[in-house]
Amino acid sequence: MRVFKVGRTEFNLDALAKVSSLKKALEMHPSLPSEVVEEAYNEARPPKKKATSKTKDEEGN
Amino acid sequence: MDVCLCNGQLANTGRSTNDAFFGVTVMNIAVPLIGSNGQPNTIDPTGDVEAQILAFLTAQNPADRGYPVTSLTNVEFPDEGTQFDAASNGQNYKSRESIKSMSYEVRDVSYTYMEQLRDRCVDYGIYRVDVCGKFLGSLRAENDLRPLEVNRHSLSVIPTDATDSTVQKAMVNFQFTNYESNNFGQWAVYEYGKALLKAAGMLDAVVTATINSATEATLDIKEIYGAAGSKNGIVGLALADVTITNYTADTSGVALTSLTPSPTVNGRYTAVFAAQTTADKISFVVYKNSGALDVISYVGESAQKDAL
Repeated sequence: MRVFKVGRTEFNLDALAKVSSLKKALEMHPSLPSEVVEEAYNEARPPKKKATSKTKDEEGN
Repeated sequence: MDVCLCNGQLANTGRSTNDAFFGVTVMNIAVPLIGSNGQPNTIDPTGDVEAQILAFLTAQNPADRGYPVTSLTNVEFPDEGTQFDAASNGQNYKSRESIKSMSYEVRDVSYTYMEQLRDRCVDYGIYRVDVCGKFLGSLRAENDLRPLEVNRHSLSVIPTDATDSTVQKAMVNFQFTNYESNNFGQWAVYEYGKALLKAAGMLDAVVTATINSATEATLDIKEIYGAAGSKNGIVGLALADVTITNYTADTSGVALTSLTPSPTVNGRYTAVFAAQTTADKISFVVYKNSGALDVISYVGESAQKDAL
C-alpha cells in the first residue's frame, strides 16, 4: 500500500487511484478540506499533461 | 524413585560446569497450547528465537499469541504433596509425584487488569522467565520447547485491596498439569537475555464505530484501562493499522482510503473507505503490530454495523 500524508491525514494512494474523479474523491471526504483531498488525489492520479504546441507541430509534420 | 521410569540403575549425578539452572521467576508468558493452525505452539531454540518470541507477542490471532505478565513478586511454588501408599508395616510406596503449582503477586494493578489475568478460557501453558531473562519450558525435542502446561481449571486470581501498609494487588495461583508434574526432567532453560523482561505484549483496543455515510465513519478507539467515562484513547494509529471486514461479502483486510486522527479528542479517527454494498455487515479492525519487543501492540474490532 502506498501511503501519502497531507497534514494529519494518511491517504492510501492505491485506493484513491481507483476513484474515478476528483469530484468523487471530494464527496468521499466531506470532513476534509478540499485542498487536502486534491493534493492527495493528484499524487494518486497525476493530471495528464496536455499536449504541447511543439508536439502538435511535430504531429502535424 | 521416578514412578514412571526405573531402569535398574542410579542416574549419574556428577556436576557439569555448563549446567543451565534457572533463577527467580519474575515473569510469565502464557501461550495457548494449540495455535490457529491446529499445531502445538512452540519455540524452536535452534532457530531465530527473538523473531519467534516477537511473533508470539504480536500475533493478531489470539490462539497464536503470547501473553506476558511482568513484575511478579512473592513467587512461590507450593508443594501439593507427593502421595504414598503406606503399608501396614509403615513402609511408604510412592504412587504419585507431587503436583507442582505456582503462586505470585502482581502489584499496583487495577480490577480491570486482574480480570484480564483471570480470562484464561483455553488450555494454555506458560514460559517462566527469570530475573536474567532466561526462559523455561518443556523440551520435547531439541527444536521443540513447549510452554509448561497449566491446569487452567485450577487458576485462581484474588484481588487484594490496598490498606494503610499495602498496595492494591492480584494474588495468582495455579497448578501445573499432572503431565508436567511428572515430567519436570524435561524442563529446560533457554538463555535469552534481560531484554525479554521488557516484553510489552498487547493491549485490547475497544473500537466504537459510527457510520456517517456510505464512505465515512468516525472511530473512537480506546483502551480498556482508565477511569470510568474517560478510558485512555489510543493515539498514533496509522492507516495500515485499521482495516474493514465485510461479513456479508466474506472479505477481510479491506484497506481504508484515508485515516485522519482528531486534533482534539485522543483516540478519535475519521476513516474513509470505498463504499460497501448497502446493508452489508461491516466492522472496523484495529491491529497495530509494534514490531518491537518492548513496545505495546494493539488489537480490537468494532461491533458489526450496516453499511449505508
